Amino acid sequence: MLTADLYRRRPDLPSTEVEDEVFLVIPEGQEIVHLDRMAAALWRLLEEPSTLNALVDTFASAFPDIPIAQLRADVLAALGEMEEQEVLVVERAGFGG
Amino acid sequence: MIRLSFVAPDDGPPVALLASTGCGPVIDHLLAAAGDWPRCGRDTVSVAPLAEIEPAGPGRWQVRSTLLEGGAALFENPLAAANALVGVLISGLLLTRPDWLCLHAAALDLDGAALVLPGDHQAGKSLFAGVAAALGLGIIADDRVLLRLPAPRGEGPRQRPEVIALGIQPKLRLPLPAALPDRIRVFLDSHAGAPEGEMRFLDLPRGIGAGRLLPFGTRRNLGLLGFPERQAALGHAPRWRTPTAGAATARLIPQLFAPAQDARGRIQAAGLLVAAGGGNVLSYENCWEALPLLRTAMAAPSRPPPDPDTGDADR
Repeated sequence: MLTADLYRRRPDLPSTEVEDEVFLVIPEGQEIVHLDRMAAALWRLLEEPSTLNALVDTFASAFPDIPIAQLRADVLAALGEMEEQEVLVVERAGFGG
Repeated sequence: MIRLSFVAPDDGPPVALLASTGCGPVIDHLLAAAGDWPRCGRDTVSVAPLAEIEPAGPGRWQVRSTLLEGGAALFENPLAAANALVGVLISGLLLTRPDWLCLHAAALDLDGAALVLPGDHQAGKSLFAGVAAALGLGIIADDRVLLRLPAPRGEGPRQRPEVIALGIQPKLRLPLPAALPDRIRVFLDSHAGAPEGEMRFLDLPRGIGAGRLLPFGTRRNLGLLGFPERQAALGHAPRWRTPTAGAATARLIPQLFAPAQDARGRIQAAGLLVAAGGGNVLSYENCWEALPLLRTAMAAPSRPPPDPDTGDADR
């Protein structure tokens, strides 16, 4: 993971909201993925592709009382889980052409 | 060849099975399990059978149905085969009505409303149902709960989700808990039905009222939906905790069987049921201690009324 990595939504996932949480459907196999509030907030922010730093900055503005290091760890963990769930695409910086 | 055709609730299309000669034990168990499912007359031969059952050697039966995984299954005891046929019949009902779904849950009748307790296999649903019957509640189901979703806005009067009784007797896992109070044990023993391996059916009288199994087709509005979570050595009295609506919806989705719905339809259905029924989690050690909490919760709705038409964020 590099701070310049670019996170973007996988574009082909239908979404349904239940209150402020999000459910996505993976077309292959119709698997349902539940995004909790944190992940759902990231999903909304990623309507435009973004970097980790930019995402953390946005959370820091919304939660000024929470230490940046904690926010960064939480955002990173949520992004990692979303990547494992295959709902995000990550463009790695510094790799390839 | 014997044809068994059953009337569906709510004037839906009937469902039917075909059984070869030699399937008597399976049919007997099926008719005992679904004892008050109304049968159609002989003139329903036009209904395509959902399953065909035939003997497959001594003490074995094969059920063929497109509604079974793999298209067929072999059973070595007639009760298990009958249970599979009940599942096929329910699947058939669900396929005819996209506004119906089935929950893996127990459902109790409390003051004319349905208290629905979804849970995994061996979550304690059946014991909850048996104990509830012993303590004066009516039983709607202990494993498979048929629900009808309310009409979407603009398609008739808005209603709450409705539970439809299928009249299937509860089935308890043996042995019963050692700590079970005597009066409950006496009730369960005095209503013991047929054994099935480590399980035993109850044989509750059918009807409306305390300790009875609601007859096939009886309807109840969904009053409360709560997830029972049995914990050994809990260390405190039974208590509720309130997950987010999304977390409750995510918890409900795996318990929901709705073959006529796609994934988005299942999410929306689960979200609607949580909005209507609360979706709180009940931690308990002994279900007979938890029932008073359920009674209290039924009187106090814990989430706002359902609104299936909002929160749908297609992007």
